[in-house]
Amino acid sequence: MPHRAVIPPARWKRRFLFLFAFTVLLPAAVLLWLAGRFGGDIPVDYADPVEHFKYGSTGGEHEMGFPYWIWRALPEVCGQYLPGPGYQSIGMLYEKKPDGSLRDLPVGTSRRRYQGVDRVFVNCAVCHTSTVRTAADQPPVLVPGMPAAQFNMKAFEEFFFRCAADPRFAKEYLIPEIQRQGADLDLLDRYLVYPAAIAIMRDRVLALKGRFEWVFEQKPWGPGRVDTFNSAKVIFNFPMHRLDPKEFDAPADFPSLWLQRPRREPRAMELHWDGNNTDMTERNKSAAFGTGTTPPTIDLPRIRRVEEWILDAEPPAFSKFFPVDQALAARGAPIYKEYCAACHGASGRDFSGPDVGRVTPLAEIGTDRRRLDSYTYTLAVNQATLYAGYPWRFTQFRKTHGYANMPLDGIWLRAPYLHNGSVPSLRDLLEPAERRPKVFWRGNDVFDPHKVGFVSDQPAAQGRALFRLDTAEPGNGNGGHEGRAYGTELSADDKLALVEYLKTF
Amino acid sequence: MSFALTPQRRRWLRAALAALILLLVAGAYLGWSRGFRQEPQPAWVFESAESRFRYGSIGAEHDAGVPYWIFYVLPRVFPEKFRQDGQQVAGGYAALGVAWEQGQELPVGFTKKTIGFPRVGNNCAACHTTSYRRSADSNPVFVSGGPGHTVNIENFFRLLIECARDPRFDADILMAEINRVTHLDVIDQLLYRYVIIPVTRKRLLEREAQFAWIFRPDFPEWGRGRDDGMNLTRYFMLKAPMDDRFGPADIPAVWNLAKYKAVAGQHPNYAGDTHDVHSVIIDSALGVLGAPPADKADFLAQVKWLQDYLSALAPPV
Ligand code: HEC
Ligand code: HEC
Repeated sequence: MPHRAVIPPARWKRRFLFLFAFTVLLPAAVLLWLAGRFGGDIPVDYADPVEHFKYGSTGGEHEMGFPYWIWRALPEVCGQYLPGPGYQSIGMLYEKKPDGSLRDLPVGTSRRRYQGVDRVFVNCAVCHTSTVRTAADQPPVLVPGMPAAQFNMKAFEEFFFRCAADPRFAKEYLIPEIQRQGADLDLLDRYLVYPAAIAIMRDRVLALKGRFEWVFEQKPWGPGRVDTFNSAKVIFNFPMHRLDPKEFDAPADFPSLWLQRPRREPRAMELHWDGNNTDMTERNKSAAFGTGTTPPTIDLPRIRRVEEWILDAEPPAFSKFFPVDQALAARGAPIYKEYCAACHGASGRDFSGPDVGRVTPLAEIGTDRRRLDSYTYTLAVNQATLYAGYPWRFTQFRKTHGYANMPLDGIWLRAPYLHNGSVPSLRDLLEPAERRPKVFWRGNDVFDPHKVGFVSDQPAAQGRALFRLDTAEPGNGNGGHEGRAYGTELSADDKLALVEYLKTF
Repeated sequence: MSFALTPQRRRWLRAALAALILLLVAGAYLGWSRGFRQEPQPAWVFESAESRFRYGSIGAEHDAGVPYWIFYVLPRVFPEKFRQDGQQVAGGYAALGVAWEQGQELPVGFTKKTIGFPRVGNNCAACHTTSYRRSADSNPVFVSGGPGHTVNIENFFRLLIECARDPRFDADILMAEINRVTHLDVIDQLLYRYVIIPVTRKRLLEREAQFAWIFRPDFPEWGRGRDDGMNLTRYFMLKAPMDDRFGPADIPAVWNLAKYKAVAGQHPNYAGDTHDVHSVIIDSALGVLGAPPADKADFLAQVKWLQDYLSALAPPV
């Protein structure tokens, strides 16, 4: 055995410490730092349920989230794909901070830090919140839970797809704009994280573009509407170009979300415009796909907070904004009871009635059939596979053959009327179809208390062009819900009284 | 230095050995539990004879079964392969003309059973359930035991093989889609990525040779509601060499089988080539299994149940 030099213990110790630092301490420190920097999954939370509804997360940022600063920079970099400056131009609403400046994100968007990047995506309020003004020179009042009558979903989708395909969607354009807006990105963010995020996001959006090609081919939905169930077909990657053409051009008005509890107790109503689902939690989870969630990434505890809020949230009273002629309304009550209550409930709060929450066959109701035809038996059975493997797999979607008789709570704020928003006011709805406006403008938030509906005869408001809805276009038909049973043959005085009564809902 | 086993060393060695054995046992258990452990189907399947006929397993998940999550994402990854009447169709499996009840996770005749991991197989109801609608504007009504006149079986067989042949039948692509629809734990992730997906692909491609005849351009399409049952039997059960014979036949109704009393000389096959209801059911069930049954006693019990059920099943009036 060769003789080996004996190393003194002190040197051993030093070597050991050195080695230990290099192989254990240093990597551990780096790992810890990386975990701190890129781990974690922290949504921005709000204690107040209404704030949570407006700005809280549904979990959509995981899969679909836009890095916060990219979200901020896009309207500047891709301004040519928006009708005007900023997200405001497609009807997103910015609330003011206490100091009078605008909040940095619009109503209906949430923020979450995930994989080391702050991300933004939409939540339920983007389609279920809007504003109302009592006159053109009055300030807007934000009403959570009402249909987002100003938000243009189609323009929103098209903006991102067009922008991602634009050569300016690149770090060379985005990072300087981000810095200009005062991001003050650190070195890592500036040279590593954000450039990577930009590339990843571009790929993601472009990969999805094929699945959304059909949207570009639809007649414009305008503000306040979305093609609900053709969008749902995208989840399954149905080859959209192979669908029966009669399934397309099926825009649906955003509904209100108030008072869900009496919609499920004592009897679960068939809801969605065509009454295709009786289970509120399924309707919510189904809607959550629209906020970018997937079964593994949905944030159920936070969705549950929204769910709890919409159970009992109430619409604001018409009388807080405009006077109601109580005597006239009282004259309208028996007319309502005779003509409408069986289908729409005893009143704006009492939803009892033999046919409330049931489906009236299309042949009877006679409204535009495209929304109905867009929802197919084939889609219904496919939806029963959603959330497979979870205890809350969808089981309640059903193909129906008509439209649902829904409660009319807060009906004044749910204009324009019918499932496709083709009738601008309650007064117009009480006319036979040929006397309803053939063309009108959507997207104004100034209210007309006489006809009961948003002002609809002006092509622009506050310097912004409104959407011209032509009832002759496919999907926009304003026929149906007419005839003696639907009150369109009442005398003019009775109609006036009935409309006055509906203001109390 | 000697390696004599001092008591101390022996103790160490014993401990190490025990640990190793423990590890092996745990690994084996895990492998068995995630790969082969059978779980009974949920109780609702057996709640009625009808639901058992429609969704009850007859054992097809062992060999002919497709791992559940692969089955689940195929329509999303390969929408172009879902064809009916010669054209690409939208709607996934529903577009193949299967009977699919609303609210059900799988179409009638598709069974879900966990053997280590959830798998999808078929049973007789896939072909022997008929559907009708009272008007163009109404939903289908499904009748158990009736001929499945809308289902395109040939397309279903082709579809699985064509997917396996496609280079996109690959762990990266399939896992990305699976992770979008469910949360698999680490073990299942690894299992799917490195075992289940490659093995499924291999199995399906093995079928390609046996199924070569359904890709022959000179054979006519079976179309909806027809099935070349005899060729399936010849090539799968009897391993007969391929030849030019083909004979797609209309799927028959299988209700009220009690009418075939062997003594009366009535025959339950179109060509009258067997006398015995029992053997027809066995033969058909074997066809669904695509391989000898994994558990023969269980299989015969299933056949007995089917025979009793179908013998007594009355056609609708
Ligand atoms: C992209 C816009 C959009 C988003 C985002 C959205 N919804 Fe909706 N929601 C709609 C539309 C449109 C309908 C009507 C669907 C139909 O029948 O066509 C609807 C219907 C509903 C209904 C049924 C109402 C009724 O009375 O029929 C509920 C409940 C609902 N949404 C809840 C939610 C919840 C909860 C969220 C957030 C997780 C959400 N929605 C997000 C557009 C949206
Ligand atoms: C037979 C049942 C039935 C009767 C009676 C009936 N409706 Fe309706 N109503 C419906 C259905 C169904 C819809 C949805 C139709 C659609 O959107 O295509 C509807 C829609 C409405 C809407 C639009 C709701 C919205 O959010 O856009 C209003 C307002 C309305 N009805 C008011 C009335 C009034 C007022 C009466 C009595 C004069 C009445 N209805 C009588 C079934 C009925």
